Amino acid sequence: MKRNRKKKVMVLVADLLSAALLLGGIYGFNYLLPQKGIQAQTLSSVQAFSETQDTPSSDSESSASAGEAQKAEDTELTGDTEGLPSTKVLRDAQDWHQKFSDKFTDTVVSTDTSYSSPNLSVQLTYNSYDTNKLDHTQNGKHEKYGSKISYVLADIYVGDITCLQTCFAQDMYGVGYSEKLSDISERMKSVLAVNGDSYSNSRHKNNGTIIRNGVIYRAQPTDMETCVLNWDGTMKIYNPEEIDTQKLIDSGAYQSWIFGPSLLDEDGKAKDTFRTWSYITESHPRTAIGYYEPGHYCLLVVDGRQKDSRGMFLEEMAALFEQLGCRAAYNLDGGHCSFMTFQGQVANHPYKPEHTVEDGLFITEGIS
Amino acid sequence: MKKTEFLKKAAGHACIICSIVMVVIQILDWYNPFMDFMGHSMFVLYILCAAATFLGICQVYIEKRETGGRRTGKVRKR
Repeated sequence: MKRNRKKKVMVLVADLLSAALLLGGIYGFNYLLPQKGIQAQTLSSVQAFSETQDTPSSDSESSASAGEAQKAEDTELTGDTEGLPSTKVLRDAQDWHQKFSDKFTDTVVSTDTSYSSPNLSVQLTYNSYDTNKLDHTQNGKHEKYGSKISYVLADIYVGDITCLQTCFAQDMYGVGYSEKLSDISERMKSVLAVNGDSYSNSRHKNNGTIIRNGVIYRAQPTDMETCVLNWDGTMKIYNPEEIDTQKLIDSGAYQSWIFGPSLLDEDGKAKDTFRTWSYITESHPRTAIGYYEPGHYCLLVVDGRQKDSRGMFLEEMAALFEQLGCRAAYNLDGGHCSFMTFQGQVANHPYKPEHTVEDGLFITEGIS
Repeated sequence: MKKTEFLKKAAGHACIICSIVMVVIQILDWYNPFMDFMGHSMFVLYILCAAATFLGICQVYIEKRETGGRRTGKVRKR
């Protein structure tokens, strides 16, 4: 009897261990193991190549770029950095140094909340308030965080579009690559950094168009709104059915993000319905980008999941961007990824120690 | 018969393992839906369904055969 019982218990333990191993295998293979890595191209090499293509195209150049676009659309790019298509570099005719001359300074002037130089102006603003509104979604899961909100808003003027760059974790495009934002920021020598759209996370890894620093790393169909920042400094948010890789190449797309949703309509008014799934609409820590005009942007990081700040609903964030006067605004990855560094220091108040991220946005002194 | 017995045991263990995995994944998805653990574990659900179907068929079939034998009074000799 005893021997029988012992045997049954051992069999049950073996089943439990097998279940644990299976779970570990699923997690490791899908979330930890680096896959499909492509070395990121440097911005200076992309810019040098693209500017040689930036002349009125002959027939052979048109068909070459069309061929490259087709290649990008056919399959997800794997492994080889050669042959990654890049977009046309079409600059704004206006000199932003002159346009925003009152924002820049002849030498670098920096404080705890501001930075200005001949190329760059960054001003941080902190705000906190009580909404008197609890989050009752998810069966009241968020109610314990109260009704307060705090955020940090970075108002950014750039003299050149290359002052706003993106970077992949470990300089590799693919699944399973992650790095602390503060480490990437140090590597990029950035003044300001925020997390990006986590382009290769579990919901997005084969989704949409990923253009970073003018290079097209992925061109797949998408069900998400895509935010595109162009070389000329304009920002446009595309619905899934509007995205066309060749158009993005021809119009000079510089960066693209696929998290979403967009927060404002064409008139700059806050939306009240959003093209995303219901979990994203609940109150969360947030990261978002706002666009005023070419050369003038803002980055918002909202703290959340803590007593001092519950996070923002999407409609609250949309209302904030409308109030700021942005013409377009786009939600990036939030939750425990929401993080901002400013001059090497953490600028927001995350509810957890720094989490590794897959990519980020970096405000730098640009390419000289 | 030995093969069937072995397969039934294997299916039983597969049901236990896969159902534990599915329950844990459902809890993880509730906690952090954005990670989409379920989306990456569909094969576990398929294995669970296959094992459960096999066990169900074996059980029903054997029951039917045994029930049929008792009614007629004839027991099939093995």
